[in-house]
Amino acid sequence: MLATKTAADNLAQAAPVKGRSLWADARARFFRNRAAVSGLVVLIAVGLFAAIGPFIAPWNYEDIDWAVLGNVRDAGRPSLETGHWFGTDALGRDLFARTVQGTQISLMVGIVGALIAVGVGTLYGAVAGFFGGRLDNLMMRIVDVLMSIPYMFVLILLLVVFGRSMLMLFIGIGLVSWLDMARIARGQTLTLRGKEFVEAAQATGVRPFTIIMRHIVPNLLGVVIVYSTLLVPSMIIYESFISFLGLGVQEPLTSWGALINDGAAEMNNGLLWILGFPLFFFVITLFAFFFVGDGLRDALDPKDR
Amino acid sequence: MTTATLAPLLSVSYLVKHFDVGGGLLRGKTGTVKAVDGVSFDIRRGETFGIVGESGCGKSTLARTLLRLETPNSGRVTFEGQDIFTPQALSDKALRRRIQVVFQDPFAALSPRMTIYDVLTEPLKIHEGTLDKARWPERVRELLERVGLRPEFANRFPHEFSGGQLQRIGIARALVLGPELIILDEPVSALDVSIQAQVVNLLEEVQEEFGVAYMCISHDLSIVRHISDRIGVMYLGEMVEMGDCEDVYETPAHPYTKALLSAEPEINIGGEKRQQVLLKGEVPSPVNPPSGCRFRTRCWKAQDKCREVPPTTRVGDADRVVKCHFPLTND
Repeated sequence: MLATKTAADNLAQAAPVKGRSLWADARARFFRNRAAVSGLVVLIAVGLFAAIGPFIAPWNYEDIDWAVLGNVRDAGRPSLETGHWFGTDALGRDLFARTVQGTQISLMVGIVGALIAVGVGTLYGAVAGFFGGRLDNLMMRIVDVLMSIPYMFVLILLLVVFGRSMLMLFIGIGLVSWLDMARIARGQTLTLRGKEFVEAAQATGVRPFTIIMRHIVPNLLGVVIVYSTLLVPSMIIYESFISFLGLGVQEPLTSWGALINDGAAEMNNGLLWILGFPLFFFVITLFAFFFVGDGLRDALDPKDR
Repeated sequence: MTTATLAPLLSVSYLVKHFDVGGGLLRGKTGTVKAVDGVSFDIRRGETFGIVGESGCGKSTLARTLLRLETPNSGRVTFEGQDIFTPQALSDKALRRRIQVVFQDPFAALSPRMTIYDVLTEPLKIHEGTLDKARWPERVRELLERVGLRPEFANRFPHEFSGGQLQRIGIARALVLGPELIILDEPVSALDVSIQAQVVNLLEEVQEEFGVAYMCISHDLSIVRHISDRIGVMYLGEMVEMGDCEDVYETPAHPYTKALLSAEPEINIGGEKRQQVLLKGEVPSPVNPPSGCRFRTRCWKAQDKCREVPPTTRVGDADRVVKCHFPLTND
């Protein structure tokens, strides 16, 4: 692969004409889309918040500030003097540190879920679509069966039976996240398989697996990338829902869903900031993902050039 | 055009390819499309064999079968005497190197995510040892120049080219491995008329230079006539007439050939008007072809015999082959 690149570069030196790949075109179109770019900026900001938050937070996410406990409504307000920039939760733990920690978990769940979907789903769908016939039938019926089981029920059962842990959460989310992706990838593969460049490769003697990796998957990527940016928020929402039910991550770890749950419980007591800060991050992140996903779709698929 | 030597390069005998209709998980099979039904012909080294026929007559299925994208139901195809459908032959990559293809739609024929350099070197990657890796750029440059494109186009992507340029790249890809037979599946029908002539000329130059044989499938009769040495006429999965190109065009023996050729538009100023043969009805369904002679439902010479007895293939002078009870040349 490397040798080919350099060989191609040698040719390029002979003449300065450089081809613009579809990716370069798409990148230019994406950066012209203002909503998408601002979404990307927000995502980067949230990412930085999760990454460097722990180093600048004056408090730890699990330590209780005893001076605040019992008087959260007054002493636990967001303030710069106490170091509780986002205030504290009902137990007197620093909400800034907890929001940082929750953001880490939620983003991780979203991204891991999406990665499993992209990796497993794309390959599974491409294989089913490319080989077709009985194998396709078998593989897609398996997907149908898995889809027909209520995933929330399975997830809850898993967490109850095997205990609540991050690993179980990832396994549960991984189990359901790739199903839609497999269907989408298969559908796209069916249209690609009939294309003449695939037949030309077959006629030249390219092996089926190589055709899938070299010809099918790169042409699927546009759809897959778009779908996965839309998948990340839905994974975050799953996790939030599970945590909201009290089955997600375990204390003292937390996630957006768990934080919002805590905040919702304290609404009546006038401690609105406990709900407000996590909700703010949750909402802007989801919005940003949707904008970026929309932007990518427009950039990668302008009437399927 | 080079003169053909006698030993056939590719020999097809009684090739049959049927497709099941319906079928699936729960439904039963409802019928069989007889796409190619007992076709035999030879292609000689360095010649151009044209195949003409209406849409749906099995031309493309024939091409796909010869490329081994389909497995035939029965029949035998030999390439230089070697059966190409034995298990050993199917896994033999060297054989694939010797038969290449140029497709109809140049926009679909190249993967949109690969540069032209990657497209042209992919066959070399698959067939390791054909050419030393260090010489690939040189080979790509040669080929691009040969097909009339600038070598620096190698770093561009397919969407940056016009249809005619893409078809030239398609031809270059077919030439990379130095094949002995190139199957041209409607090579120019997706192109503008002005570009068609250039591409046809290029194909002829390439043939002269590399001595490659062509099997050219087209519904464009004038182009087939222009580039073919011999032609075969297909109707409903059968080869109804075959012979030297000029002979067939000048004196068609099968009624279908005559009807087909008379449908070709001609420029004729002041001269005598050619007699038009208009066929009645539609092409019958290949799922349920007529008994006896398949053309009898539309033939103006059909008699009872045509319904009852399928015509046998007759070999006449100069390898002329006709599948008809009452060939026109006997009149």
